[in-house]
This record gives sequence, structure tokens and C-alpha cells, in this order.
Amino acid sequence: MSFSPPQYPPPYGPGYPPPRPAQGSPLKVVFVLVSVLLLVVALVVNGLLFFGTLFAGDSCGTSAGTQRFCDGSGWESVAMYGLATAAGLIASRVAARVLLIGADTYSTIVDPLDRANAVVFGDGAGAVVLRAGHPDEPGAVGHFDLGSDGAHEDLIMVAAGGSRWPYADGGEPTPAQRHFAMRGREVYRHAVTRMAASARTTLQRGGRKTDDVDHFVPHQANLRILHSVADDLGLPRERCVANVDSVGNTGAASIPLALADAAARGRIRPGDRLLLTAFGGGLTWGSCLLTWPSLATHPQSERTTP
Amino acid sequence: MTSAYEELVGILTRLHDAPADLIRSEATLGALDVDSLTTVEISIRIERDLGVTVGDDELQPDLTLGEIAALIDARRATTV
Repeated sequence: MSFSPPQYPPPYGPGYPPPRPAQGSPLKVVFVLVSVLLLVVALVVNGLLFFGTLFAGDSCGTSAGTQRFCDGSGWESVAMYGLATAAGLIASRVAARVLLIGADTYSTIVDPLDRANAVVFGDGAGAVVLRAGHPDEPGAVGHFDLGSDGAHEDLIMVAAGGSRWPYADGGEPTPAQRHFAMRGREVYRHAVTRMAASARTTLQRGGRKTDDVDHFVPHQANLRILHSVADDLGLPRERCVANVDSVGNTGAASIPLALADAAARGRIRPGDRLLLTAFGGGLTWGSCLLTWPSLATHPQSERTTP
Repeated sequence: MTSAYEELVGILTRLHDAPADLIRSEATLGALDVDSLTTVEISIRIERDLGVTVGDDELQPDLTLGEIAALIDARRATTV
């Protein structure tokens, strides 16, 4: 029996391409897309420069064998999942080095008139280079914990975001459906309990105790959440790295920016033991252990926030 | 033994910067300017530290600290 390859291009039937919504001219759509793209590129480049001073040259090290890498923050936990994926690529020798970028542009999805959210979220980007290394060198990444619970996806979401609202499903979404929405009180409770549990699980997997943590670097959601998790873990609040007061919640960039900020201030030094914990939409969460790498760091020359 | 009221004040003072002289048994959460997220945090800590469940939806602004302490005691009595 002979094999006949499928026809290419495939024979599209009637109704293809699907009708586009009447609102908005194509030019406007292109303009918006290009604007968003430029904004993302600008932020990413900005973030790279920002982190370039921190991870110049060699980057945070990760070992190939049993050690893995982490960073992160659902949106906010995406970077954490990305880090675990990158570490897997290195450990399995699919990649020798991985450039991992965490970026979020909340200004494109938050309603500026939504006071509860508009004052909390910020745009940001951060990046890190991962490479194979040794478990005992500064920069080695330890154990991970990753988790998710899709039953609570509606707590943090853009109702008409991504592919959730295809045009074919009926009509143009309302402005409210296009904007970011969060049920704050419920999210707060989940964040505190999930982050603390994830941090504990990671410490347990790594055979570490709370006292072994020099710096706790949580997703920068809200200072009260950070302190609540630190209190629950029995960690002095002074060991909790926080910069939410100056940059807000920057989602996937949150933990990278907090790390860069702390390193630039000389608060985190090579060999320090860090526990990172993220929480975000999905719901998703994750934690990991790492030691801070030996890198040429330069003090931040200029802050763009007070 | 520490009373539920003292434990509640211990939780509140760790979270909230209300002046000590205003923290009295008859002070309401509203009078102490306790906001909604702090209410959630108080609820979490009552459960975490005292082992009883008082939902944040129960901690209404017109509730006094004394009434909340009584609620904790009542829940303890039913769970023991």
C-alpha cells in the first residue's frame, strides 16, 4: 500500500478564514500589536541590562548532575517553571547554556481606573543565564518544589486573555473581560498558605532547616504576605528580601528584580544560601534553594524609583 | 494560661500599628482601622496559631476585640 502525503496547503473549507470582528480597523490592530511588541522588547532589553551587571560573564551556575536551577515568580510563577525547565534542559544535556527571561507588562492588562490593582502592579523584566556546574560551587541550585491547582484559575485571570476567548465563541469581549482581575482576599489566603507549604517542602527535600536560610526571596506580591510567610516559617523578617515598595508586583520579573536589587546593595553575597518562593495565577507556586554565585557585581548607578 | 483575648491582641499588634491605648476589649476592628487584607491575615493567624477557624467574612468591622475573643473561646469549646 503506498503512502500519499497530505495535501499542502490543506484544502480549507467554506468559512475560512473565519470572520474578524467588525470593531477596530486592521491598521489599529497592527499598531497595537507593534506597540506592545516594542514595549516588551524595551522592557526585556532594559531587564537584560539591569541583570547584565549582576550576571555578567558567567551567570548563576547550575550543575548538570543532580542539581537544578531556579528563579521565579503565575503569570508570577512562570519564571519558576521556566527555571525548572531550563535546568532540565541542561541536566539532560540538551542545552549547555540557557538564557531565561522573566517579563510582565501589567500596564497592558490592568485597567488604570481599577484602583485596587493599578496601584499594585508594575511592568518589569529580568533575565539570568544558566550553565552546567558543580553542586558545591556558588551559584548551584538545589531542590525544587512546583505545584498548581487549576480549580482556582478564576481567582487571578484575564477572562478574555490569550486563547481563552476565541472569536468563534461569540462576540467581542467587554473591556472588563479584557482586563486583569483578582479576588484579593481569597488570593491572599492561598498565597500565604501555599508559599509557606512550598518553602517547607523545598527545605525538607534539601535536608535544610529554616536556620540554614540566609535570605528568603519571595514573589513580591504584598509586604504583608511576605511577612506572614516569613513568620509562619519562623524566619526573622530581616532575612526576607523585599523591594515591592519601590517597584510593585512585577509578576514574572518579581524575584529576579528583588535579587538584582539586593545584590546591587551588597545585601546578598557569594555563597549566601537563598530560598526563593513564588506564587501566582493558575494557581501556581514553586520554590527552590540556591547559593548565590560569585559574580562581578556593580552597584546600581541610578535608581529610577525613589 | 493565656486568654483568647491576649492571644488575639498578640496577633493584632504583630500585624497592625494601632496605638496600644486604643487596643481595648470594646474597640471594634473598624475603629482600629483594620483593613480587609489585615482581616484575612488575622483569620489566617487565628487558625494557624490558635487552632480554631474564624473566617475572615466573620470578622466584620463592627465586631469588638472582646467579641472576637469570645468567638474564639466558643469555637475552642466546640472543637475540644
